[in-house]
Formats: sequence, C-alpha cells, structure tokens
Amino acid sequence: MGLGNQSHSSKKGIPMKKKTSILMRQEQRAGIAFLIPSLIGTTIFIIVPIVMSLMLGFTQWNPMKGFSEMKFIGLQNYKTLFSDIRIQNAVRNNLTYTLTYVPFTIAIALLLAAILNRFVYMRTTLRMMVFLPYVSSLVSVATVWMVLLYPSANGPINSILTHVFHVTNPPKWFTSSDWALRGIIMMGIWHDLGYHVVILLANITALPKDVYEACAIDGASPIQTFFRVTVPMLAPAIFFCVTLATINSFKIFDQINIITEGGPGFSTTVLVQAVYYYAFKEFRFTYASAVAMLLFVIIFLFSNVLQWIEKKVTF
Amino acid sequence: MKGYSGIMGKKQEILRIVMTVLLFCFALLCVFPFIWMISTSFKFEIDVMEFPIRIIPKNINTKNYVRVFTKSNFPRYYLNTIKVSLITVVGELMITTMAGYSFARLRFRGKNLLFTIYLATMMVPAQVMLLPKYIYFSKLHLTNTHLALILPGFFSVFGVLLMKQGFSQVPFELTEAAYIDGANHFTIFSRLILPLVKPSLMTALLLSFTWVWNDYMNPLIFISKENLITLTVGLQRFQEDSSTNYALIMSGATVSLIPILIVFVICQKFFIESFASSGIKG
Repeated sequence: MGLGNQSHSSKKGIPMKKKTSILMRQEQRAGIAFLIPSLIGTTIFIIVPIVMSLMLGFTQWNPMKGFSEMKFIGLQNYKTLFSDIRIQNAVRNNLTYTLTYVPFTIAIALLLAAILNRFVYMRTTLRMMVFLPYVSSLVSVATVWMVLLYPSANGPINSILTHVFHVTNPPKWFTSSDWALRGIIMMGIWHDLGYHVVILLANITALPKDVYEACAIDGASPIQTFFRVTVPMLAPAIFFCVTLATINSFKIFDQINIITEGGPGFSTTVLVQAVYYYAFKEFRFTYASAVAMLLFVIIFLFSNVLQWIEKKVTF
Repeated sequence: MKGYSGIMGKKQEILRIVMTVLLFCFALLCVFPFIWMISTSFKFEIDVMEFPIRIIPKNINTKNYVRVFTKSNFPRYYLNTIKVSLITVVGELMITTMAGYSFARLRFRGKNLLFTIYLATMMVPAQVMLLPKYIYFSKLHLTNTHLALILPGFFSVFGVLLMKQGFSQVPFELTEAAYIDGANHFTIFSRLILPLVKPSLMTALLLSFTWVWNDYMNPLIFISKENLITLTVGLQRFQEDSSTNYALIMSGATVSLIPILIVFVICQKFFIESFASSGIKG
C-alpha cells in the first residue's frame, strides 16, 4: 500500500511522547464509544437473562406475582427433572436425534462436496438445488413434509413406497410412535444438508491442488484419494461442521412443534419442546428454566468432548 | 504419453457424466418437496392424494390462491414480517459493525475481558434466555409488540464476531497514517474501512435476514395478537384453520416460501458465498 511499516513511535516529531499518549487516549475513548450500543444491548438481552435463568432454576415462583413471592428452593427443580418422564423421554429423543442426524448429515455432505468439487458438470446449479431447503423456513417445509408423509397408504410418499417399491405395510410416519422420530430425522437431514455441503465444498476448493496432482500421477483411485487425502486434510472443517450440527441438533424445536407437538405419546418430545411446554402450557417458569439449563449443560458437555477429540486427532 | 492422457481424459469424461446424472437425481430429490408443494397448491382437493403423482395438475385450480389472499391474513403477515426483518437487519448491521470494528481495530482497557465474555455467551443456547426475556418483556408491556422481536435482534454476538473477522483482515498500515494525521476515528471507520468490508457486510446481511425472516420461536412466544404475527406463526395458524384441506395448505406454504426462494435463486451466488464464509475457519 506504499505506507510501509510505520508505527506510532517511529513517527518523527518533537512532542512525540505527548502526541502518542493523546492518540492512545483518543483510541481508548473511541473503542468504548463504538462498543457501547452493543454492550448495553448484550447486557440487557443476553447476559442478564442468562444470570436470571440460572437463578430461576433454583427458585419456585409464579411470574404473574411480584418478585417478593420468589422462594429459594435449592436443587429441588433439578431433583424433579430426573424423575420427570417427559424429560427422560426428551433427553433420549434428543440423543437419538443427534447421534443419527449428525453422522448421516456430515457423511452425505462430505461425499456430495467431494463429488461436486471434481466430478460434475453444472456444479453451481446442483449446489443451489441441494442448498435450497436450508434457506426455507422450517415451519413451511414442515407443513409440506407433514402432508408428503401422510400416514395412509395413499399419502404421496407412501403411495410411491407401495406402488413402486412394493412395500406392503407403509409406515404411519408422524402418527406412529416408532416412525415419528425417524420422519423428523429424515426431514432434519434434508433441510440442513446443503449448508454443510456448501461449507465443506468451500474448504475442499481451498485445498492445495498439487496434492491431487500427485495422487493422480501415483495412480490413486478417486476413492483412495477421498479417504487418504481429502478427509484428513479437511479434518478441521469436518470438526467445525460436526460441532455446529451437534449444537444445533440439540436445539431442535420448530418442526416438532409444527408436526407432532412431541407426540405420539412422548415419542418426539425434545428438551426445547419441554421448556416450551412447561413454561407456556403449565406456566411453571422456574421448572422450565431448570430444563433450559439442562439443555445448556448437555450442549456444553458435547461441544467440549468434541473439542477434546479434535485436539487428539489433529494434534 | 499423449495417448495415455487421452484415455484418462475419456474415462474421466464418462465418470463425470455419470456423476452429474447421479447427483442431478439426488438434487431433484432435494427440491422435490418444493415442486410437489407448488404443484399441489394448484390442484383440487380430490387430486391431492392421486397416484401416479402428477406434477402438472390434471385440472388447474387457482381458487386456493384467491382464498389465501382474500380470506386469510397473509397480506398482514407479510407486512409484519417485512417490517420486522428490515428494521432488525438494519439495526443489527449498524450495531454489530461498530462493535466488530472496536474489537478488531481499537485498543482500549478491558477489551480482552469483554471479548471473552462475548465469546462465552455464544456457548449458551438462545432458549436459555427466552424465559427471563419473556418475564421482563411482559413486565415492561413489550409482549405483543414488534419491539419484542426487533430489539433483541439488534444484539447478535455472532454478527459482532463476523464483522470483527472482516475488519481484522484490512491491513493496519492503511489506517495508521490517517490516525497520525489526526483524522477522527468515526471518519476513518465510515469513509476508509467500511467500504473495504463489503463482503462481510453482505454475509452479515444475508445471514441475519434469513434468520429473522424464518424465525418461529420468538414470534410464537412474544406475539399472540392476530394482526401482529409474522409469516411462520401465521402459516401455522392458517394450517390449523384449514384442517384437512391440503391443497389450500400447500398454497399457504407456497405463499410463505416464495419470496425467500426467489431472493435466493436470484442472489444464490451471494447467499452461498455468505453461508460458506461463515464456516471457513480463519
């Protein structure tokens, strides 16, 4: 840029020290002035609510009444959590969802990204088509899927299953406690796949080309190249996707509240759904806060474990 | 050598065509729900569950759309969603760029501590903040106002991080001279640096627009008045009111999806670059 490596102290001038300290004071003031709007809002809308939520979990209180009615009850809410059948089911469903949704999404996304990178024509169009679901609201697409997976034999997907694939007893999807969560998982993978494809593809494109040339010269097959070169070199990006997908998968709510509201029975109840249920159907705000804290603890544990694994694997 | 590469080239060409066809089928599967939705929205109820599924309806029915636009509140939901999204995105961009600039390029006491606090809040899921926010919004009589959706949207920690990353990529040499010559910090920020981070601004804009437009949980919790709700909750109510009239429900879903799909298809390059850059580790 033609300005070289000038720094504050190398500038020539007689009252150098004085000028530097004025500049520093100006910078100090500017730094705080630029940050102040964000700082105030972040405190009001993020930090105070987090602290409040933490406190609410240890109290018993009806929010319609004044703050003086608030009663400290220690770990009572958390003790109740463990014997709550809704919560037990929610944790189990959340874990099932995450442990199937994450590996499938990332594996399929990785495969698609690798193919899109080198082996196709019309890359932009294909990428766009795969990404399309991700920009659509979960509420709208959940509405569509609810009808697509209509439980009777003449529902659109089921009619394909019976007529084309000769399935005699097509699943009852969202009305069956065995299939509801599977339907939710399929829809989740379909909705988010494009996001991970796009991220992984951007990272693959940024990999050094010469490694691939070397592979081609050494006669490595595309499959060998994929597992021995692409996957290891992409490890940081893959970990990023896995972590993000894991964190987001625990927050699943929109599609469940639209399609099943946690049912049939408790077969698709998840933690966020339970928070919503206890807070806004039963008006047990403090108990719902304890559920929300449980969600936080689970997400925190999972992201730390993933970070630990990443350190082990990628030095 | 030449022949060898010729064979390889031909083999690769076949592989490429096969892969393209395979991937195209897969991509069709990805967009099938949308095609089916649009097609069904033009069908008569009796044709919805027909087999084989017709993509071009046998009898075209536009009455569904007439009903959506005249007998439902969709026009109102639209206005509300547009209002909330625009104000939120503009406010958020202003506040997060300033904060990002401060964290990236200015030195002041307590910066590292504040930044650590910002980062730490990212670990906490938004659902944890929801109930306390509801409690004090209702004490302040902010529930059932659009402010309840707009105000918290201004303060996105993710947006601050995104802008900070953008600003720190601008070389520092560029601004040193201007500082020493006594230009004030706001001039440098708005005239010199802001034009250089347009890609980051674009990313922040598209990510936050998509997020606010599609948001369901906040409107669900903070807004209950029919004339204030946004598209997502509006579609849910519309669907509940239409019970089993699936063709009608699909036209509601189409109407709720069309704007963002059109914006996406037109600006797909920007969208995809934006979402991709949110995930490149830097």
